[in-house]
Amino acid sequence: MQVSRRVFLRYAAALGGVAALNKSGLMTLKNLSPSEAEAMQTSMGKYEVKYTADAMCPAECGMEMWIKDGKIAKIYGNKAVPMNDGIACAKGASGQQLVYSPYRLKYPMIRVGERGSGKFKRVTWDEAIDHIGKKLADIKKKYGAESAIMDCGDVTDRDHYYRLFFAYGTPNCTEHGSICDTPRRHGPKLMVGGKRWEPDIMRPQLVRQPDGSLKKDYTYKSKLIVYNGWNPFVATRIFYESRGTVGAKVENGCKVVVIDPSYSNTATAADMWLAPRAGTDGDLFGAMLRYILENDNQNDPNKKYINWSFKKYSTGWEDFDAAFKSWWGKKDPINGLSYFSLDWAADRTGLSKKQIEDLAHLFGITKPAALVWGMQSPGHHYNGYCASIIGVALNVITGNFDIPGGVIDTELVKSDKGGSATGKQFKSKKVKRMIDGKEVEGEVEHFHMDLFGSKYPAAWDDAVADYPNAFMEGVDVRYGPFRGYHYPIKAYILRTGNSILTGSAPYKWKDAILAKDASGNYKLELYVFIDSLNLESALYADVILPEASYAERQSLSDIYPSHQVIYNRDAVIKPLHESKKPTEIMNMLARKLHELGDSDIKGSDFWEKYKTEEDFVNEMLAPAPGRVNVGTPLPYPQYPEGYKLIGTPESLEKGEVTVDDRNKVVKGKPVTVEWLRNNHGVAIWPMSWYRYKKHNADEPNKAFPNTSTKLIEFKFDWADGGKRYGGYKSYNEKIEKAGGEVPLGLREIGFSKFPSTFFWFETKWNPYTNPEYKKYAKDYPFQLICGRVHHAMSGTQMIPWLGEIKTEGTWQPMNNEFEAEVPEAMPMGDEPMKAMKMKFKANTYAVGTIWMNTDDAKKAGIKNGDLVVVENPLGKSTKGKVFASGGIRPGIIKIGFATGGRFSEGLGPAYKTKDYTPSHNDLVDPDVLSPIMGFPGYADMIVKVKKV
Amino acid sequence: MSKKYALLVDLRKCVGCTSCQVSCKMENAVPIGEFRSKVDIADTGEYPKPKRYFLPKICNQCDEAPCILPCPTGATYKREDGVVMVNRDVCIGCGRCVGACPYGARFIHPHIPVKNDPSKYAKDVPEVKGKKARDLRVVDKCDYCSHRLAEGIEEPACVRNCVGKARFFGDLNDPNSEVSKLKASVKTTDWHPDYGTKPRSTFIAPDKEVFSAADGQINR
Amino acid sequence: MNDLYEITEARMHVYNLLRRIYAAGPTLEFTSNLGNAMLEYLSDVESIREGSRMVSMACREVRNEKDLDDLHVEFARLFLFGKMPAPPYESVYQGEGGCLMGEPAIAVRREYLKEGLQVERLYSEPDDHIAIEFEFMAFLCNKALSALKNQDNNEADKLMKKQKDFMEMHIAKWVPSFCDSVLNATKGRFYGGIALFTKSFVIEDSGFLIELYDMSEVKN
Repeated sequence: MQVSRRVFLRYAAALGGVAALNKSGLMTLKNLSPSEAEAMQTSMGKYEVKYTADAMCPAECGMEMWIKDGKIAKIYGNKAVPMNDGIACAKGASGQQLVYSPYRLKYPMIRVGERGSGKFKRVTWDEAIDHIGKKLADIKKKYGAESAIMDCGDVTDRDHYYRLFFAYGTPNCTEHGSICDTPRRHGPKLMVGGKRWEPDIMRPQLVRQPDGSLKKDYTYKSKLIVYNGWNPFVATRIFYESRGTVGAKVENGCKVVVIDPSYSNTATAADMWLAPRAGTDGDLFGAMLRYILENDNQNDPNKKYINWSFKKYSTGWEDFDAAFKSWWGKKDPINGLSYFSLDWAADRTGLSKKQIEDLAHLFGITKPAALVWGMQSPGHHYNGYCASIIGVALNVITGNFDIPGGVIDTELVKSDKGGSATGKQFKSKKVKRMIDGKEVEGEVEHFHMDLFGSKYPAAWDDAVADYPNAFMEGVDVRYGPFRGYHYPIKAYILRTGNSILTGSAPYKWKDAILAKDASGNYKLELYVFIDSLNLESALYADVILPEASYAERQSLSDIYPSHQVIYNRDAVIKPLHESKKPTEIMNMLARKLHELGDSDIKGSDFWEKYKTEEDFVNEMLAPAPGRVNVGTPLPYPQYPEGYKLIGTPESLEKGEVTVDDRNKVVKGKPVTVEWLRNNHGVAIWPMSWYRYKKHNADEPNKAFPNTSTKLIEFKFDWADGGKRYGGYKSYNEKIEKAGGEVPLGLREIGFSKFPSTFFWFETKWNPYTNPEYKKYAKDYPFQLICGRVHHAMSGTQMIPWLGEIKTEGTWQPMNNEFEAEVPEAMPMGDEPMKAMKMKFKANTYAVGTIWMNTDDAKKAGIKNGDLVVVENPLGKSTKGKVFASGGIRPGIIKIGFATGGRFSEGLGPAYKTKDYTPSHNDLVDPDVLSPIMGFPGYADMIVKVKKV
Repeated sequence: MSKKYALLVDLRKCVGCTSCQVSCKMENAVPIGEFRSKVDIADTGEYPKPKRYFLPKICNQCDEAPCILPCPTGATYKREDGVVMVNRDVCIGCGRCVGACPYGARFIHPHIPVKNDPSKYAKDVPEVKGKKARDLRVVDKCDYCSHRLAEGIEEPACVRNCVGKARFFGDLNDPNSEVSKLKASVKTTDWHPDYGTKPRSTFIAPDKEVFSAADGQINR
Repeated sequence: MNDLYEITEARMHVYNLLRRIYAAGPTLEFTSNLGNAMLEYLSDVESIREGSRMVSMACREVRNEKDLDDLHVEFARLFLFGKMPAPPYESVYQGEGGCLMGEPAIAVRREYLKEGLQVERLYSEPDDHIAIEFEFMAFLCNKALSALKNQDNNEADKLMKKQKDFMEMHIAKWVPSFCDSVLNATKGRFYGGIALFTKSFVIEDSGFLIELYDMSEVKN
């Protein structure tokens, strides 16, 4: 062979030895045997179908994924899962763009330089775990394990982290729910021991027929659904509410009312759209309740609003009724009107008397009906609890609770999962501390920074928005056995959450994380970020660990069904890059802590017990479904009513069970991952209604709901026959044991203890309902509200296909022209090379926008697309482009949650638009934390708007 | 008897989620900025009576498709089952069919090069004169997910994943198919019947204003 | 014969080197050796010389762990994390939609398989990472060297053709673009020099392989 004498490569001998072809942990090729190679050749290009679930939002819809060559090739809904009945939303269908995003976190990284500088270097897992382990061991020795917070963010797969950190010795483990909607859930939790009330429109439901067979029922029974501050078509978590609402409308003539200051997509399906002022949900509900109580007439078929049989299944109605009515005699200082009267509500909500009256009448007279309320409203209001409680009362007294076509508490009826795997038992470990010179003994649980802290002892979901204060000032324990104890917060482990951006105001979080002590060391000594996505919160971390994406790790889904359904989120592909599953991370860290001498962490509780993630999931499945055999029709007529059910649907159906009469448990074969895999990934147990009463008598069954008396409770703390009952009793007991010391939250609203029944107080930053803020009304004429844009959540905004969608007024194609590192597909073939960057022309790509009423915009000289600055009375501001339309109440401005001002470079196009997209959180008042649970007042703010 | 495929969208049930648009992207690797399936969203009206319309659109697989005649190579043709196809091996990317579609359902695919030698047609098709195959790109459009139909899955991805359960697909020659039954029982309206192309895809649309409010072309 | 052997051995060493450079950040020992090697590297191509000069100078400035950390931070910034102006995967430049594990990754997987090779962490590590593509070239070079040693010219021929094909179908298509991204994004001489070196080397090697093939074609 002839070769021309090209002398472009002459090498020195030294070059040869510089890079030996060694394997040392670098990605590399390996040899296959001929048979291995052949096997792989034949399998390439073939599809494999796997059943899993989506975790891009808490709906966790069942997914059917087609895998080819080890990669997710197609994504559809899993037809066997009733939550989504085979469908997939736009976000779910775009999962590949998240899993295969080049911006994903791929390797463990350690910070080089100051926090927030963005300077990281890659390290091995061993190095990263070693670093974290040593710090945690050190912190435990110096300050106590309670000084660590484990924030699991995302609702999925938190159990491994909870288990680890409970065992380590801190009770301060939290998850996303804490900054989701706690005030919204307050009424249900207090009054039925539940959480979320949703309309009975999940279809199909598996229903026991009179002949004993089970049938998939698709019929809608609802006649009225009222969505208050709730936008299922866009906020999309209770996924069946999208098809269920239109299904009920078209197939059952159901009427839909949407109450929302903005014309949401859900409002397009409404027969009536009411746009009240923001923060007046409780006002409206209260007026509806008063109207119904005052106008109910049992003898007039057109006014028979109340179904008095509810009294059989509840307790305390008289107290509640009396307390509620006591407000009617009072005059509201802001308008001199009688509380909860139609005049009063019209004045405060900005709706007309007729609208309120019509609504109250419609809700009272239409049966079955469901009144449901939302996360943003009342959930994100300082006084959201009140609305939630009244909402529960409204549904119950009109006889709509847990009836066909009525309203269902999805928490009470969903399958149990987790069991001993979550490690709650570690929280009862006894520990000792020195307090004021005396040694005091208590349990790990008694260090909880909220439940036993000084501010929000009833915080059922931890007060994450208060964490920056805790980073700066530590925790004062004022309740429980460790009263008088103070401890600092020294470690914050954040997993699949973005609290710096979303946990209240970003500037407050940044300040707290960057705060240094007198010696120049960071007050918060350890900050770890664990996720698949490179979010703002990663920028400030000390150590970053890449977690396997939802398609690469296994767990269980079951969040919001109307009866017990549990399904397997199978790992359908191998973890990408060097990401690891939660089970592995848990075991690695546990092992390290153990090696460093932590005797609380044992192999028998971690790496020896859970060799694979499937072991962990099987333990989580052990209690399923864990609900009692109640309702009409009785789910299992062959078993005694009120007995707890455990086991696969198959074994329960066939009678392959043991019945334990002493403990009232029917135990079939335990649900396992293998069983789920053999059954399209899902286990479904039968639906029933009227679960609060016996199936064959109009009496309470005393097994449901989940309260202290097993009745619906309208009173919250009372004594009877020497025993004390009620949802608030344990918190008042704490206060009493602490010599009557009133927690900060209650002090703010002038309460000296948790109320014994109906209560009312005003929200913050609302000049129309709270006289304290009247003075701001003129200069800050707009109420600022916010709402999810499903496609553009904090963690999913970088997906290019979702940038081609527009949503209401908060996500619109108003981009400036920009270049993106989201390169487009290049031609295959004999081509000249093309540049990597792609230009997005102006106004072709969706960005976060500011939604404003057309007339308001005109008055302020603002046109559609103009850049404006929005400023609040605290002097904080944000910029964005305006989308002006007739679809929002005058005096209201709406911005999507985390749709703009994104400052993480790992977000692709979203980062490019940060200078002209609005950040709602920058306008949130970080000091507005609602009094009972410490939840941030995301929706309580007023602003002014000016063209830039 | 051969199949007669058709799509029906029940706008009473469309919730404007755009899953049909994105599911199509996922199924068919449609490039950013181009659409085989697009949801047109239009805001109209003034406070307190605003309106918002959702009109999900795909190629209508017209029975008298105006895109077929202008094709100089015969690459585009209508199958017996109704689907209007583009043969990528034959297409020379002249783009005449793109302009001929009043609905804007077609687009030039930025990344799939032409295979057929355009020089054969250069005389009559000046658009491709002097160009090599590798400089030209084929045309693309919705084809009712013909690759799924070929596997016996009579369910385009957009129908499979539809959040409102508003999309129906099937054989009009089968009186028991869902589309047949719906068409027989509920009034349907076409998008721009005035174009005279006899679209296969149709809508249940109680509020006709949707067709004027959300009237944009799919592409362009 | 000797020429081909010498040149292929040199090329193999360069590919090994580049593979190591793009696989992970450097060690002190590596930068020291690299600095020396690059200093003595001769080429009649100006940009290759320029690149190696830059690298050599940069290596000289790495004296301690802190200097090394700076290189690691730059490596992470360019290739691993955050804004990542130069993701080192062919799919990002050549695949559909810029995502990882695209068609190019599957295509190179097939190529590796033909040689009985597979990425060690199959399905976890994208097969089209630049380091792996370079490793494959080095492997083919090594195999060609064995063939030449055994005087099996047919085999050597096949392997040189394989290198040419892999270069043309994959490496040459995206690596120069990738290098441009690095050059635009880095101010440092280490990765700037590496990028310049890499780009120039790939272009030259591509030309070399094409010429080699043309000549052997002529011969046949």
